[in-house]
Amino acid sequence: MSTGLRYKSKLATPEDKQDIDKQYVGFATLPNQVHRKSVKKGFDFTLMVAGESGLGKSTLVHSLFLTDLYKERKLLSAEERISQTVEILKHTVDIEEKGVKLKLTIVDTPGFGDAVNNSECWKPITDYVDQQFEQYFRDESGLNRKNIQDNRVHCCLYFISPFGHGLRPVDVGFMKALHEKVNIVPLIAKADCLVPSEIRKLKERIREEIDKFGIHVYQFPECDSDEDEDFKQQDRELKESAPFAVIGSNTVVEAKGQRVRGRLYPWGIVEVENQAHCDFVKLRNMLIRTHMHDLKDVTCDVHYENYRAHCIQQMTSKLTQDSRMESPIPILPLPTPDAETEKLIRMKDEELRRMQEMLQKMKQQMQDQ
Amino acid sequence: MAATDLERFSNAEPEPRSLSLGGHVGFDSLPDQLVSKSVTQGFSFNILCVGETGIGKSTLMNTLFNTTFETEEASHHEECVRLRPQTYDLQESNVQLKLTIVDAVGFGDQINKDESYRPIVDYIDAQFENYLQEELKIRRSLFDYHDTRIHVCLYFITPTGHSLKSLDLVTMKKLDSKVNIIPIIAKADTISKSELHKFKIKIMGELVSNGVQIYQFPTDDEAVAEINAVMNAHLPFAVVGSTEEVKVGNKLVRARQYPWGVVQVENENHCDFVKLREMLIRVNMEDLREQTHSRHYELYRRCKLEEMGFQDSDGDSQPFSLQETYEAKRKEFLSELQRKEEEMRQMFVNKVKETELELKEKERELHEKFEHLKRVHQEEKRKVEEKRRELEEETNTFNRRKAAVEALQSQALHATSQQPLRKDKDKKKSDIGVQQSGMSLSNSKVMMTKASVEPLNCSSWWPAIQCCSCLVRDATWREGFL
Repeated sequence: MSTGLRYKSKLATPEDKQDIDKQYVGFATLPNQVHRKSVKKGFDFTLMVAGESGLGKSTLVHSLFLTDLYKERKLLSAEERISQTVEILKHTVDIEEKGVKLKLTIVDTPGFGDAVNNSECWKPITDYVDQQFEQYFRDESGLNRKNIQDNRVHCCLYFISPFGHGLRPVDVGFMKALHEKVNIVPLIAKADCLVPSEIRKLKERIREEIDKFGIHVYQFPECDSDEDEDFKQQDRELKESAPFAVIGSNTVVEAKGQRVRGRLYPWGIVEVENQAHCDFVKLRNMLIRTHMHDLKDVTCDVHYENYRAHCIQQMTSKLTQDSRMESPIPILPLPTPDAETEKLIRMKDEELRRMQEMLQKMKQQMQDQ
Repeated sequence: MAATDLERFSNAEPEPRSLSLGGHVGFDSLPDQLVSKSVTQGFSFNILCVGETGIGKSTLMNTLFNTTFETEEASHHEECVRLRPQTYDLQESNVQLKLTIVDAVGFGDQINKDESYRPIVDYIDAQFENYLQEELKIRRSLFDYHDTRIHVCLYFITPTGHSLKSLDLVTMKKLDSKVNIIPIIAKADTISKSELHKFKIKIMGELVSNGVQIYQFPTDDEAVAEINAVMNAHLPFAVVGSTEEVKVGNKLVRARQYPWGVVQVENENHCDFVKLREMLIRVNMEDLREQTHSRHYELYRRCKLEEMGFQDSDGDSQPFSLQETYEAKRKEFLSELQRKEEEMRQMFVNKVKETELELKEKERELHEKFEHLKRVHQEEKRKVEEKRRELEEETNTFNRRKAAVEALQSQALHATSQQPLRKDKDKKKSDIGVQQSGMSLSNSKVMMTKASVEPLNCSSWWPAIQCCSCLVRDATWREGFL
């Protein structure tokens, strides 16, 4: 199911070659060239994981990328977490597979939703995302654009607790604050506490609530009508199983003579890569094998462009306001002009107008008399 | 003689001597009498369930009591925590139980959970208060009273696998002095055995280090001491609840069916549900009730009465009678009320006086303003009058001058008309020309007089222009000027 297979089927078959030979230009090799160049350049991907503590975020990341990113991690006790603030931690690893290099950055958000008072606990996260956009914007508008570091967040995996009946207020608040800035992929964490009927009900409930609250989560792109049936079927299944119910594990257990990644319980073994047990495989395929580039594209084309347009609009509106103050045209957005002076100017304008009217009236009166 | 006897009884209280009985008396049936009495009375038991929405509180209650208490699913978007008590009458082999289950709806859902514990604490206090009021009544019926005091609080911990949540710690600290807390790990089928062991140790460690007093099963009664001690070591219980029945082997058991296996609720290997049921219902229910009454309720009562000012003994360690203190308090309270009333009345009167003064001031000011305005108005009127007179004068002078000019004109006409006839022979032009010249002279005189006399005043300038223009239009004037 890799992309390589898909386009190869469209290349010329030997039977047609005789006819095409005469008219063969050769640009059908473009995909190969692109492939070569991109392998040489390498890829980068920034993934953010967010959700309350104890929902299995680090375990899932471990299972997804098969690397242990959190070697020394200090977990806080409950007392220390009463008034905890959210931090942003970045872990960057370089991994390679069949000659393709990937620079993977995982942005972790410890402390989210842990304190007793969680008002605006997503603010550090939105600030971080905006900061990355701003940095890219500046780099892009700069003079030397050769080595721009793209640290923009391409995807955010949001972990929803399976112990409730749906979305909680803190989930809704977080997603609404970030849905216009980053691709949100909601997941149901620790799905091994739900029987299949409960999973179905919870997924439906979450989909309903996402619609109800107007949250724009990442939508899988529509597949073209000329794709083969198999691919279309897979795409449909993918769309129907959102949000994915995942289970993570960083231990390998023995099941039916095979060593599988899973969790061992007295009543059975949960296999992480078993499609009947959870949607981990679907998530992995979607995130890494099929939609990674689409996630990057949507970040560049939609979220970043929105940010950029908004930024430029703000700058131009500030410039027109500042024209009275005769300041030199800045490259960077100014600090907001004094609201007080604005108000004073407006008040004085009003007064002048009123006095002019009064003068007019008096003149009229004199004339009438 | 009687006096000394009495003295002996009241002052010296010798140790009671233990005697042995000669035969069977029969007072060993006292416990049975007690039991049959309480059975006919019926028992009441109140459970408070505190935990996040959707953590499995209602399911666990259904599983514990093997019935379906109809409760509707709560939503996550409650504004604040509220308590929902529901009372049920259960019966099992002619023992009646009045069970009240109190649910803390909306707990843990709000974004700001600072005040989440408060409605719970208030509810518990309110139940104690009701009981206290009943106790203090003059005509009371305690045996008939439906005891609503919470006997046990089941605190549901979310199975994160790491430790307690901050909200759990804060809430349990607030509740441990008011109610018997039994912490349980809910939805325990998501934690594997090794993780569970670590989790339990972490939780108990945190509770101990923060000084939270959870309920310890009593170990002083030899009949149950051993089992209680063992169970104490298993706290907090990791439970799984289910009302659905699944076929395992050849029996139908309550369980949860997963694709990878079946979690049986009553299997001790799978979860601690059986332990919880034993401890909560089968062994220690009565002890829970007693603890609530003798420890938590007494603490509440003492605090409340001390707050009201009652004491057990004053400085001289003479016991106060409740009655006297009560009377004293009441008198104090009434006099306090009266004083407050007086104050308020005084304040009111003062305020009224003040407002009156203010109003008078305002009235005076208004009056002054009115006078002032009137004067100004008069001034203006006078000025306008003056201006009008001036204007009239000007128009008069202008009219006179106009009349004069017209007279001059008519004179001029007469003069020209008396000229010799030869002028008539000439063409109109020459006639007109002479007329013109004559006229022109006079006209120019007029114009000049007009120009010199008339000041360039707005009101009379426009008519002046009009005269000029009609003169200009008149051919005679044009000819003359040219």
